[in-house]
Amino acid sequence: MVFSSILFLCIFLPITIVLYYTLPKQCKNAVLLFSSLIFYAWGEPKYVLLMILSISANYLFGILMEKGRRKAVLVTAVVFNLGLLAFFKYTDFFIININNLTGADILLLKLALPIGISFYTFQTLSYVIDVYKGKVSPQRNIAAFGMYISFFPQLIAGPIVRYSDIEGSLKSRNESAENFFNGMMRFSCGLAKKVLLANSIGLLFDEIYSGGRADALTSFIGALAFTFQIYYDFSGYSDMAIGLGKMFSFTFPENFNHPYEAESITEFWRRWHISLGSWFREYVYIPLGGNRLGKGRQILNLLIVWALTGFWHGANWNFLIWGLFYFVLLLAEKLFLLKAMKKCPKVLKHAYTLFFVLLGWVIFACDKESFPFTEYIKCLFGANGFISEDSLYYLNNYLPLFVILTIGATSLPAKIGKKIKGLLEKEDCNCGINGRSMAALTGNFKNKKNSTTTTLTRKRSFLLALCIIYTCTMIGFSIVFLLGDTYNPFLYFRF
Amino acid sequence: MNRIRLISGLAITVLLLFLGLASLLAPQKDYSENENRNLASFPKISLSGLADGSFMKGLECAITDHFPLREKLVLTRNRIKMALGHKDIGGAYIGKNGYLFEKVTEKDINTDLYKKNLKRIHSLSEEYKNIRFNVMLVPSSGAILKEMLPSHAQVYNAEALLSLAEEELKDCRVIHLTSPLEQAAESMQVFYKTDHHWTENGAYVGYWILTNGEGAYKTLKTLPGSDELLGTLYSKVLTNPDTKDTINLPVVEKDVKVKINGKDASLYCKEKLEEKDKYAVFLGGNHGLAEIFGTGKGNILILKDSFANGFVPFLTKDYAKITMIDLRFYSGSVKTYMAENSFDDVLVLYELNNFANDTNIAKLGL
Repeated sequence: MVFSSILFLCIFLPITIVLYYTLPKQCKNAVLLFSSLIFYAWGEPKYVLLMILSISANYLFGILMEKGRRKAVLVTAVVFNLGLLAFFKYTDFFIININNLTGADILLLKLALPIGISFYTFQTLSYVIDVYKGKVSPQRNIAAFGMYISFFPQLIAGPIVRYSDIEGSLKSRNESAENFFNGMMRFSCGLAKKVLLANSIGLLFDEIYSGGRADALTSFIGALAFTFQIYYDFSGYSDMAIGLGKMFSFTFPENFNHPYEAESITEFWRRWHISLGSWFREYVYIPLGGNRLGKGRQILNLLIVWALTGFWHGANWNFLIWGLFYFVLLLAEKLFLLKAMKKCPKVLKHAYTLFFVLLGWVIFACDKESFPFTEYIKCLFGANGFISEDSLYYLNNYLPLFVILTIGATSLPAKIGKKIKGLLEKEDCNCGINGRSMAALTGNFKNKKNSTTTTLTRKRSFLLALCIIYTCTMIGFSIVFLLGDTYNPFLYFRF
Repeated sequence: MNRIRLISGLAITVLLLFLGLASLLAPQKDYSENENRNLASFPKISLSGLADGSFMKGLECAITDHFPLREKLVLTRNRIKMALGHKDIGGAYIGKNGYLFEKVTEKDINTDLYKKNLKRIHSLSEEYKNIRFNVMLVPSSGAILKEMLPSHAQVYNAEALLSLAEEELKDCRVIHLTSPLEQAAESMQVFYKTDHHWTENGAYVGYWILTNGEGAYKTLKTLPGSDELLGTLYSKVLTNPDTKDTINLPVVEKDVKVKINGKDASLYCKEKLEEKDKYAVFLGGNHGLAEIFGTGKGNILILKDSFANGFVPFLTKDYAKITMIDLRFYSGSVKTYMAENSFDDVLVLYELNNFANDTNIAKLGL
């Protein structure tokens, strides 16, 4: 199931909420585990067995680890998890390349990729490694453990949650009206990003890319469209995940921090898919030695990390090249570029970052053999002319949307949101203190106290009403758009 | 405050569930007239359906299609899109003066299939050298009324396709309608605004050119049909219902008889004027085989799509028998039919892009 569907919004989610909040405490984890398995089985009925296998195996690995022979268990666990991932995700890619290279004719497996396998494999790996290192103690409750792996909010498109992040919440949580409502608001924001913005602009890239070689302006509009689509889609999914988590009182790590505002590629990657970057740093880069073993070794480590990061996004050459493209850029920045750019005006830094990020997305998105990214980049630089009626038509059609997308990608809306939230919280506690101190101070001056509290309450009520209207509007419009959209892609089927 | 949060969060949850249940439990509708399509029906639960996921997919489509007030909400969505400057929705251009156009660009034309289809017609004409072959491929409205398209919007190059037809069809007469229709459009409406078909005016232009102005139907006389047409393009966009089209029915002799798939029928199926698909007033829609017995002389075979339906009334004064075969619905063999019946003329009448992309012409077996 995906979040952006009527079935999820109007059946699955409300029923899960009702069950979760009406059943007694000891059933809550079971409710979430059960609903997560249904959520997963909805799109992948067969692979839910794989999910259950993965849950049981890693549960056992954790427990065995405590009983000694830690290293042997760890190696088995890593081989098991990576083995599953490699088998389902990469086998065909290797077979195709072996066939191409040697002229052999090995049959392809043609397996459908289990959705979210890259995300949950990374979660299981972080768990067994953390248990091995003694950072966390193994989870003995299988429902709680199963929930950590399969919890539907972050199951199919992240963020990649580390076991230590939610270990406490798995045991006990303080559900509150505030968490529930704030979570719903965050979810509605993510849903709107995905349905109203990402889907609307994604159609444009698909139309341009499927149209074949085009002029520079059209190609640029197409690349820009994908740049916005993947940001709004992916960060929208993360917002929905974080919001849903919050509705059940889980706190997930933030995954995006206005990446298109970055002033360098290094900064971009600190702001884009944060949970993936920190996973690779923690479980690959640092164990390989990080920057502690000399410059040469550090460069090699970076190369490994970025090749893997690229490959993680899909079993195809363009993803590998995309990873290496970032390796080169990040290395250049590390070695000299950041220093050299220090005195550049900000505008230039933004332009430089966005230019390469956009180029990166072209490499990422153009996966058709008949129209590879190299050709697209040529078009981008005018190999097919610079302007056409088509490009003007697209501009005419999409300019207002592009303006909205640009404003939305800055930190401005988030700042406004934070301000309102801050005011609301401040007013919340102000009111409490004021109310009490007023009462203590004034004693019999009742009238004065009442009027102050009323203005405060009025302001709070107004802000809260604003939040409620926002939530309803975003969910409402998303449903309206979902009803009419034939285009509602799931971009992470290859991750 | 937390109480308000709790209540509003709960209210939203309950409302969502209510909408979901309403879609699940609402009375079933199989067909959406306004959108001109079948609605997804609720799948039956079965083990195999659960195992391969088809049950889930079916349920997903069905619940979306049966959402309360869905059509009105889709209309709202399209209005928002239009307000944001979108000039095409659901595969239709939103043009000027209330005109909607099918969005068919150069990329949407399958040139290989088009050439193959032309070759098939050519082979047929080779086989029947004694029959006059006329090929009338009508450019779509967007290719004629270019100035009504949204600015910079592109449609396929009709002239280039027609030249190609000229090259491939050596023994046939290829009828070019681009400039006659363009000229006529200056003084009258040749295409509907909300539907992709040509009006009686457009069809009469086609008739006039086909007969070189010497046909028996000298002046266009019509009876009013309906002024409430919201056609196929409206179904794609589901918006601006303020613009409605008028269907007029060409006046024909009283003794014109019609047989459809062997059964008695009539040229104008007036009860269709009360339904959504009002263009189906002509012969009641598309049929595999329609025979029309007119008041003229000779036999003509028309291989056609729906563009011929509004056109054929004009021919009733020129031919004794008009046979219309729609390859999309005809299950017999055209060759056998032609061997068993004798014809003086053959007319291939399609909308140009429809002919180019039609896979059914292969049924000619050539």
